[in-house]
Amino acid sequence: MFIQILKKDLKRKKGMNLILFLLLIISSIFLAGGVNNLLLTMNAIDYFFKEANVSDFYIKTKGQGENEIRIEKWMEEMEAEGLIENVEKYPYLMIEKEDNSFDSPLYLCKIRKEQNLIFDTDNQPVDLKPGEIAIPVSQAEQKGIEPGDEIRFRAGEKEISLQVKSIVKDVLFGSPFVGFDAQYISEADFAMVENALSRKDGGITGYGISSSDISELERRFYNEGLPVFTTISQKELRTCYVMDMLFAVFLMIISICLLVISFVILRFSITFTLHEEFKEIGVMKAIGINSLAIRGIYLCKYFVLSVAGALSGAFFSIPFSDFMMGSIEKNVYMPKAQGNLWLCLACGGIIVLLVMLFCYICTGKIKRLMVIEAIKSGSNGERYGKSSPISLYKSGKLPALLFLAANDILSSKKKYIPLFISFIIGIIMIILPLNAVNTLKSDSVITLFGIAKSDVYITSHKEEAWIEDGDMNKMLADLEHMEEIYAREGIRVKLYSEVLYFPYVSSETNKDKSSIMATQAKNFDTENYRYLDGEPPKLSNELAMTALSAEELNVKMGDTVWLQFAEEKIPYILTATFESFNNLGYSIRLSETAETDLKYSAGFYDIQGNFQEGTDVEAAISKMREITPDYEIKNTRERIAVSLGGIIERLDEIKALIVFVVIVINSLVTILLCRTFLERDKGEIALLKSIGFSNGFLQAWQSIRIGMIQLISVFIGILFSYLLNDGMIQYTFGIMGTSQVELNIVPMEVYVGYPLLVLAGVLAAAYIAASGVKRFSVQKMNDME
Amino acid sequence: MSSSLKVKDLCKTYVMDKRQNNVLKNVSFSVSEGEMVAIMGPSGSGKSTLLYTVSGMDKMTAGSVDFFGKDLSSLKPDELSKVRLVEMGFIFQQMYMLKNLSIYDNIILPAYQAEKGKGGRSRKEINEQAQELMRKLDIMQVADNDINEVSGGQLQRACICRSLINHPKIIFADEPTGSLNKQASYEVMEELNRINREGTSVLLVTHDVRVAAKSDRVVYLVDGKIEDEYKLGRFQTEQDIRERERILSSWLMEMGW
Repeated sequence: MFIQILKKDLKRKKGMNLILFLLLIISSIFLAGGVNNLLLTMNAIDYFFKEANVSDFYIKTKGQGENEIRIEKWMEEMEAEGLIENVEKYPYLMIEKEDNSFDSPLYLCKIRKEQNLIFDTDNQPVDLKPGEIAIPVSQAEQKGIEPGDEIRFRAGEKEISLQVKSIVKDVLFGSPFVGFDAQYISEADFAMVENALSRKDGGITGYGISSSDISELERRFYNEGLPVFTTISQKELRTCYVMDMLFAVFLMIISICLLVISFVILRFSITFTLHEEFKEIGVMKAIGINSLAIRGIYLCKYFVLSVAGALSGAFFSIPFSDFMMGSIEKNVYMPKAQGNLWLCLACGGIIVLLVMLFCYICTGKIKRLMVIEAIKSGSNGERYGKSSPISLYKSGKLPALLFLAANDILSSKKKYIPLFISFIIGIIMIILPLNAVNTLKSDSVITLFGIAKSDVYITSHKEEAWIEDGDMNKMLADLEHMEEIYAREGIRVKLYSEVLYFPYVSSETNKDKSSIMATQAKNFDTENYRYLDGEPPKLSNELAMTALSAEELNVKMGDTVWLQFAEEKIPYILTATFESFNNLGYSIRLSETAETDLKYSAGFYDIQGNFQEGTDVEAAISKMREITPDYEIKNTRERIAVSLGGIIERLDEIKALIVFVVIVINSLVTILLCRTFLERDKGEIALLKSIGFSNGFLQAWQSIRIGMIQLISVFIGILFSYLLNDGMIQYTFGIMGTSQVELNIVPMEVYVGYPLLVLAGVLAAAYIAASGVKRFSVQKMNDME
Repeated sequence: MSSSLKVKDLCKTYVMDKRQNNVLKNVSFSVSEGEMVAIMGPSGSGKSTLLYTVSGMDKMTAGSVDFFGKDLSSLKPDELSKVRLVEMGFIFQQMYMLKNLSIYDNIILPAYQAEKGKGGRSRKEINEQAQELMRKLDIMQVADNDINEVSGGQLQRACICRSLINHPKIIFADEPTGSLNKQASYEVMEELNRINREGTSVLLVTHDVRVAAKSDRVVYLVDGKIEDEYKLGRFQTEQDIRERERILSSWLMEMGW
């Protein structure tokens, strides 16, 4: 019997069942895809770290002389104490930008054999022969390098040409957040280049360390005050891949929203079906069929629908998941996805279970229904409250069409709740991620990297010489000279540079030394940066630090913090806190007048510059590129792209996907509900037709009320988004090390453009669905309640 | 008197499961301006179909309907809707109204829709006319009520008001008293006769001899064809009604009623 009833139902309510089926498929795709991505990303990063045998601690030091000797001596001591199990040394050979065709300095190194291993795009270990070079994915993408390309450089007197053999997945330099670069060559080539380079102590050395007790080793390392360029622990390296995780979480949130919409629509369709079939239910009850058996008929139908939907969804979620994981897989060594199908099927199973549970609850009405009520179609003739809260004759000049649409919504609010919920969720699904995406894409996001926003960013490669000379005045003179060069060509630009240090930092309450990145801008007032709290550091003994650093050091505004650049500990007063993605949220900003010595600097940010007011920035930048072709000159957007790597592209993909999904879901929901409303309103439609209302009017009436609901939902959605913006987006950014981000809201795009796009989609769907009014004949008047 | 409605060789065929059902077969008749014509006949003879087809609510299969010089069969659906909205009025057996509107709003809705375009009435004029109609039909006191808050008679009178709001040239009434008690039927027919006396043509379908007796002419339909028609002449006073009913009944008996 169940099969017969099911067949009849599926045939009779083709449209409604089809849309429910589609909604279930989409929910399954997103749920399975989201869970799959989240697990895969988490597993992939674990797997990648395991396969690459990531070192517990990584140290990078400048020079191959005394510094190297001190560090290696300390490591020997630690090894003797059993704190270090293994050390792998990675010398780097630096080739200046002007000496190579790579368009930025080359940091050549040998392939690592024991720790921090690299893999090619097929996840195979990389083996290089003389004449070959391997480039990490992020650099290859940034510079458009492909296997087979040639990279030329000069080492001493030698002209060398290497062919790119592989684009490699590099755990150490894979994430743009790590901020290190390296290129890999064979041992023979390394020896040849090393011999050819006259200056041996200008290089950099890295050490990969595996430890039996990493926290104790870190404590001992920081207390020793060794001359290091930078350090990164495995834990810190892992957080550099947090962006990949964020996208998976993002998908999960979308899938949960979609599931909520599916359940709202499911509830609506069950209630509608029960209402339509009240009489049949009454007759079945009257002839003695028990409630459970009647419920079974409905449960059977939704079981078939949900199983079919969930299975199809699970099937389609595999290519969807692959598509979403594509950009992660490019950079990360992922396990073979053998478990994917089972995981997707499990997610499908969860959806079936949830749907069945939900249907069981929704069909509970059948049990409570009295036979006589059911036979009377659930109506006892009583009506409470007025049906029309507004009046046509008091509506002024409002056209009859708009009045009817508005009156319908106000008279039967309950009927439209599923649409309101779906549309509001849809709008929130668009606004929140778009605000997050726009914030990440905005020019002001540059400040989150601890850099002040400026018009132009220049990499001149003078930095090495500045550090070598250790003379701050020389640096300032160079900047002045550059300004003069540009001024001669009519470009008035004020240049400044930020010097990076890695001093040991301690406080009254946290005496353990730890190394935190400190920056000092020269030729640039600290007032130009954005602060969370307090006053910008102005005096030589004042500093600002990120809220995370202050928390770590347990210091408040006005407390003293000690910085140790060389042997001496210098006290500073904390005057302000700020935000930064850089160094995973831990950094310090010194005042312009703080006494520092370039000898201890770890490097520089780009040289930054601001043009005279009224300058056409883009035109000036392109002229600067002509004047100084050897410099890398970027505008703010290009500079952000360097820091965020391929994330910007993925943000655009995610943005397009969200808008597409919301339009599709809203349109499906609209079509489904419009069709059911037509079915309910067929009597009134027939009546209006008979007294002379045209099909066009009736179609517009049905569509405009959906448009009105969408419009109201947009306002409610905006209100909710406004309330949720801070909490949700700040939480997301918080994962990346910032506690209070200034959101970049593009009102015309987010609050007008995209809602209008969704509204247009919904209106089009409603108009198409409402074309069903044409098929109603006046005889349908008899269906009026 | 010139004809307001001229029906010629009207056919209506329904096709169901590849089987043809000829509901109307070459029906020809006319309704003059200001005339009240009743269509009678046994159940299933095609009375309502005839009413819906000549009023343009349903498509004709063949033949023509001339309405004040307009060939309804040649009009596009939107033009036909406009004719129905502005020049025709409709009253149905069931008092169909929009449930989310008050009685008053239901009445003025077609006029507000018809107001568009040049020469249309202002909303003030529409409201004045609606109130005048409601006073005449004695339903002004229920103007703001919901449709489920009034009696059947009041509701049917509201439907009559709605049908008259756009000053139609003809009223099509399908069993206008079919769902009403005797008193309410009497009141509704009183109103229809009054409207008719004021110059509006009326074409009504009825089973009720008392209702048909108040019309000028009765057309008898059997199996989709006009069997015969009987001219009763103008209904003047209530004193004549018994005689008219008697005459009509005996003619109907002859027709096999």
